[in-house]
Amino acid sequence: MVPARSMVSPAITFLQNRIAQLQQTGANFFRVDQQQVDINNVRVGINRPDLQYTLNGQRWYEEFETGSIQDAWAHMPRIMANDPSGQFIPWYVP
Amino acid sequence: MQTLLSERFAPTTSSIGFLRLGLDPAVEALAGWRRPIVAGKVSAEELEAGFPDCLRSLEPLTGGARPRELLVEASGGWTAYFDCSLQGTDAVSTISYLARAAGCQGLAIDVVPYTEGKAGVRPGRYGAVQFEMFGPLQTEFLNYVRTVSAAHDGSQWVFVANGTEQWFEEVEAYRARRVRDRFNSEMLGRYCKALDLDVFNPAAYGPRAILVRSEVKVPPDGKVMSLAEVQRWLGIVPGMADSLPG
Repeated sequence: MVPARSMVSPAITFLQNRIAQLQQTGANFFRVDQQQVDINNVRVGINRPDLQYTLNGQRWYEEFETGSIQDAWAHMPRIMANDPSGQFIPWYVP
Repeated sequence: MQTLLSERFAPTTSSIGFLRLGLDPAVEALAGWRRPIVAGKVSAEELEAGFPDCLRSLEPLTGGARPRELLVEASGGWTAYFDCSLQGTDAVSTISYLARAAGCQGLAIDVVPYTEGKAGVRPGRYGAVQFEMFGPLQTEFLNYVRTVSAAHDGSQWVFVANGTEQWFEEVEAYRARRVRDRFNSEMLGRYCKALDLDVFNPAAYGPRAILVRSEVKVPPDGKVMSLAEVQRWLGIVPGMADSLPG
């Protein structure tokens, strides 16, 4: 789950902290910048959410953007269309 | 391609985690992590069945929840980790966390043959050979020490070598023209042997094995299947990998 080289430094720092926090709570099946998979680990899209994981019986998808929160929200329609039972969290990482 | 037990227990054995820790402390670290998450409903049971029969205790395999995890003694002072996840053990999440929590070295390996488009196999699988080494301390990214990987990402083969190069690596191979030739299962086996782990040798596992159960519910969307059902679903044919490259 090492981040792509295209990810900028503030986002990488945020990503590390986020993963560490989520691991503590028992999240698993992390994927970083990889094709979208659902709760059964079945590929549901070729888009690449910044972070995805399974927690408490749900699949979660997160996008980190350094420009604005709107940039992060812009990923939601594609992600949720691929997995309507998933959960989406946008992050603005200045 | 080399695999553990010729994929008889794949996908459970397609990914394997290892902690450089004795079996009992490894069980305590895992159960201690799980207990507050599931409000204390965690139990550990030493199994009578040896390896590989103890892997049957992980059935049924489940999606979206991981109620059963298995720790098995392995060579060189390591303990192996398997879980009941539908599409194979999620070694990275567990090992990266426990290496930090228990203050030890960790390893996660992944060996999957490329069978996409192969006659008579539906659906095919994207291949991968991955070696991920973890330590107890923060590194450039979390506690990853070294990642070497040749994997098909669904579109193409991708080779990755991140972190600190290790003394046992065969770095000349990383310049191979074909991406999938840059890191294969034989190299992975040699890397693990350099760390005192004979990963593809069933005799290097056991005899002790402990099953850790957590009372978690499989979500409504989560599939529940026997190993045989999962193998049919994923197009896994035990023995086939032996004659495939990688």
